[in-house]
Amino acid sequence: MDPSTFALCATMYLRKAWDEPGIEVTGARKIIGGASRHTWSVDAAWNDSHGAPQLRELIFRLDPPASLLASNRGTEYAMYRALYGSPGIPLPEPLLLEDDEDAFGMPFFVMERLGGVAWPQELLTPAFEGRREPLVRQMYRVLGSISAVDYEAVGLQGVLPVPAPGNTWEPELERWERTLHDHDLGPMPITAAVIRELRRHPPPPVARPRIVHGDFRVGNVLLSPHGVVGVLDWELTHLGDPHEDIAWSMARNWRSGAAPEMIGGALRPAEALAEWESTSGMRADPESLRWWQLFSHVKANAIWATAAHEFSIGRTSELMFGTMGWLNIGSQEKWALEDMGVLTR
Amino acid sequence: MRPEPPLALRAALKTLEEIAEESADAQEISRLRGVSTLLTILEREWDTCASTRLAGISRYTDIVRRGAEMMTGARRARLTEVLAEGGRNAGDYRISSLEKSLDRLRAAVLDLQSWIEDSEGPEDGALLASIWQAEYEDAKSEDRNHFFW
Repeated sequence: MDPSTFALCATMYLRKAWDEPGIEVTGARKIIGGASRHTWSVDAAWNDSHGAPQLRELIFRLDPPASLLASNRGTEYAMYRALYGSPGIPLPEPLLLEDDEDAFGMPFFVMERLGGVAWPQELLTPAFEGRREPLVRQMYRVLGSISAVDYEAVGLQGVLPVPAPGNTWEPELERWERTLHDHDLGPMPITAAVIRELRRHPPPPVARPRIVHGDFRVGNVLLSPHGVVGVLDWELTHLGDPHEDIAWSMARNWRSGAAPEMIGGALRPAEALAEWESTSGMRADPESLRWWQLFSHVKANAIWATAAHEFSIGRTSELMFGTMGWLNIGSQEKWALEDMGVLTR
Repeated sequence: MRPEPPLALRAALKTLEEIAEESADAQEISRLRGVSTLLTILEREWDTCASTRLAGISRYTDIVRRGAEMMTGARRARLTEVLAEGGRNAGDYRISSLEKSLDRLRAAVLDLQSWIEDSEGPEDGALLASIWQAEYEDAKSEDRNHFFW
């Protein structure tokens, strides 16, 4: 869809949804990088009943025909609604959830557009000079705040399945194992061995399931030089073990070539853990972290396999999807073996 | 002397770079980067794509042969059949054929590994260590990671 057509469709939709016949949408542009949903930025302007000019800067998140992730739009929207305004967790305001495909040919939701940047290369620009370390520290305090939320107190018990505290790991492992099976790229002996190892040695139980973002990392957090502006991309959210988010956020996948040993290019893992502990009220458990670190390789490979499969069956012609299958899996499996500690030379 | 394909790929990459430099469209630049990544890998692996696969086939064939000698019954028969199939395709050096051979061997190694992982004999332990190492070499040969940022 080209920007002018998108602006027109958004204008028609918002006029009806907000009962504001004077709304005009301008500045439509597709945001690069959203591989799980199509993301568009627009400005909606109108005059209110007193003639005062109004402007809303908006993001539309549309469900594409092919996606990296099988996710539930309603769940993602519910997360924004449940956590919006929670202390220490900056989020865009969720505004509209639309299941009807009439407006754009696919369902979507609308939320407030925040400032800041998500693309990690932006952190290397002069504006962020000297700011990376405090920002990454804050990211982990935000993650700790997410882990600390009582999911019942924010009304999520009917939205997200509640796993048994002693078995938060199995539904997640089964989910990604099934994803790998459904998007078969051929035999993957290393990933299969990792899965067996994970089943043989489950992680310690959690006292109580916590909100897990599911894709918390550099790239999915809006940052400005002044601080964390918003946590985005809640497609994979679920209740489970908070170590899952810590391990995923620290995975080598998201590291910077300028400082590959550091998290977010600026912080040692132990320092990041201390920040998380300071707001979560929990202690990170090394055994759990190791389990979820290995699990991250399975999950990542399942995501790469999904992309490759969608491309192979012609559901998308996005080059990124086509290359992911063979671009990422080798390195993922190499890291998995290194993390398992099974290599003798 | 004919220009080597990697030379042509490098020229293509330079052309893409020039187009990207002239573009102000972030979406177009992102798509060009995707094509550049693909061409960079093709250029890098052009000369080695057959040899790395042949090395992988050789490593895994050795593992499966050792496994077949240790197994009995249906498991041994299955591994032996994989080795025989590999022998039948030995002269076919098309990349697609080498990939198929590798996948057959990977499937056999996957089974073999799951059979011996919980065994405690010294021979099992030695074979398992060899499997881990062969898998590591296989993963390294397909390691195309570039840093996220």
